[in-house]
Amino acid sequence: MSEVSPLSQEVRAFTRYLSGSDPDDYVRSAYVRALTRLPELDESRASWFDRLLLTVGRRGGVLLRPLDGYARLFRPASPLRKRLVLLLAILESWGPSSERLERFEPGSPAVTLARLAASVAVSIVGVAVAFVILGPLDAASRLLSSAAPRAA
Amino acid sequence: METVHVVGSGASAVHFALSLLERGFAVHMLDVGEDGEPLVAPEASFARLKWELADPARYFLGEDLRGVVMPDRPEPFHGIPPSKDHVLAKRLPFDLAARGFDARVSLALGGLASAWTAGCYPYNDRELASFPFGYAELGPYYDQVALRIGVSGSSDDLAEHIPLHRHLLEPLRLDDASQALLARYTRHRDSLRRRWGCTVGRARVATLTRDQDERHACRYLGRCIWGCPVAALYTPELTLAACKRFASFAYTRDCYVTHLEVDARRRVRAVVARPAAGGEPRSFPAQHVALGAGTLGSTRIVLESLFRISGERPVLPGLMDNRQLLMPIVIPSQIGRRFDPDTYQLNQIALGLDMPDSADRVHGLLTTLKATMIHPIVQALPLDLCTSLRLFRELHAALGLVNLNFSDQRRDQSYVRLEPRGENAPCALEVRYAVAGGDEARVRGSLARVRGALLRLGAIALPGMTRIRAMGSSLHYAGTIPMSVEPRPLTVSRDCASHDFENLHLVDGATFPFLPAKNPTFTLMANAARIADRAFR
Repeated sequence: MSEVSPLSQEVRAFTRYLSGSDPDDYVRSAYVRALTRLPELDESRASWFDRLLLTVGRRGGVLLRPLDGYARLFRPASPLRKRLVLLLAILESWGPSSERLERFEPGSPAVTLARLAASVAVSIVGVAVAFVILGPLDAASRLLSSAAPRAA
Repeated sequence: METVHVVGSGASAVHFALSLLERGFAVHMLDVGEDGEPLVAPEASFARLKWELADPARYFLGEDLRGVVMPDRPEPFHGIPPSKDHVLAKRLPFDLAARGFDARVSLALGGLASAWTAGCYPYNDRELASFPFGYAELGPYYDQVALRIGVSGSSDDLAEHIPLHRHLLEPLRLDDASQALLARYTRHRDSLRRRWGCTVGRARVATLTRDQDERHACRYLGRCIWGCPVAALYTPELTLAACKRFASFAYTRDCYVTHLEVDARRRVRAVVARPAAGGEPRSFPAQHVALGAGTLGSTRIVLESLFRISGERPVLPGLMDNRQLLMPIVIPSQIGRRFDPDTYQLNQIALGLDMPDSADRVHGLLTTLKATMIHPIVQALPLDLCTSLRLFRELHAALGLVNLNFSDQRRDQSYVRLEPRGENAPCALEVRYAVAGGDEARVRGSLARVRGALLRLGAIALPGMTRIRAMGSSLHYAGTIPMSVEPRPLTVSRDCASHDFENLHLVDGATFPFLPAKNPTFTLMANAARIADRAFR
């Protein structure tokens, strides 16, 4: 079985997370091209905690949503968050994925609000769990960073 | 034939130039004139562009991805897309040192109005009280400019505070959310007017609703902010094209005017310019000169010229800008609906509110959210992106933004001057803005009133999301070299002739003695036409 590169794994996991579908060739190539143009998204420059977020995030699945929620609140400038925003910007620029992003079932205001409230509640629970697990690691990472001797 | 040299190609400069040309004068326009990318796929709507372009991410996000709004973006987000990125200059040919003011300069062909939201709101007599003329004098020039650029709107309650000029075209087609708001205003009109002094009506916008010359009526492609592909939405470039049809018009591009050469009698002899990126200066001998380079641009030229002839570095007080608030709203009646992307993208509703403690009046523009890039909004929500996306798409049709403008007055504490930078270095332009005492209280005090009026209109201001923009963000700069009937230094006459230089006029917002809450661009154009008519006979 051929090994999937981390970048391939990433674009697939992130696209599924954001749009519910696999990325097509245009999205893949646009994303890879974009990463080469944004050095601040280079994971080798990130803290070990931010690299951990990205490594786990690449696996996709149920973990990505709470990780993303955690990053939004506590690590908004992390490579995970920025790469997700970048990919979202690409997805909304491309016809097929843009249509998927805007697709929803219309409903009455009451039904819609109820649906959204449930979604927000799930999100909050996910972030709370992520906080319990990741919070100490994040705090340790920040402490170590602030205690590290400055380069001469 | 007398030649007038005009500096700049913005809204004021082009209407001044066209009026002169129509009166038989020759005009030589000197302009930096930076241009953006050419328009693409003229028949495609905003949504269709994503299917028809070979590389839509490049178009929507820019080659260097400057259109991606990252979480830690350092600069304020002006909402200007990559196709209009050139409108706010990134690299200036001079040093700009601003404090308390997000100062922006445009070197674009067409100036700042190349990326405007097309609002056309004439000043009334109360707002013109500080000017040396009233609506009776300025009114015919609003008519003239409306005929040139095409302004659509309605005769409605807004006419009580926003004079109705002639040649108003029929209004644009309303989107569903705007229709709902207006219907609600009709039902609750009396209580809104009585309790909040609130009047609501159709936005008056420089957008065609019928074909005019080579321009087409709005086709509701939803690309307004990105550049109207059918030229329905007016930009000064269209009037520049009209100027170019005159044999007596000359246009020199890549011309950054550094200063005016002035003789001992303080008569301008020449305009000195160089390429914007640097290079040898060139002197353009001039009989008459008109500065329309925008308030900061024109002011810099005057200050630099004064400095070169006398070594003076006077302080020019009175810099003004409209304080702006951005208030995201949700319209509950529209929740759960699909939004229609094929609509006019910019604001369709305007509102005005009286402030009880002052003679001030707040001017507001209500834009319901239509075709737009969604990631800047979605990534700002305090949730994971998946949940934020879901929230956004199901609320999209119900979302809107109220942009509130407040008036400003000239004050000594807000000024512009040249700042020395060393013996052989050119001076920097120092811009200093000090917020008036009580300004924050005025603004915050208005919020409760606005929220109350919006609630009556059926819109809820999202709590905690109202943003007070930094001064300078509205790009409505004015007031540094004001009109004055007394011939005082560093002022202009009622017809905007300089009191310092014999054959110089200033035709842009630098001359405004007061800045009402309304968008000033339509008045800038009308005033420029007025100057050309009255001062050049």
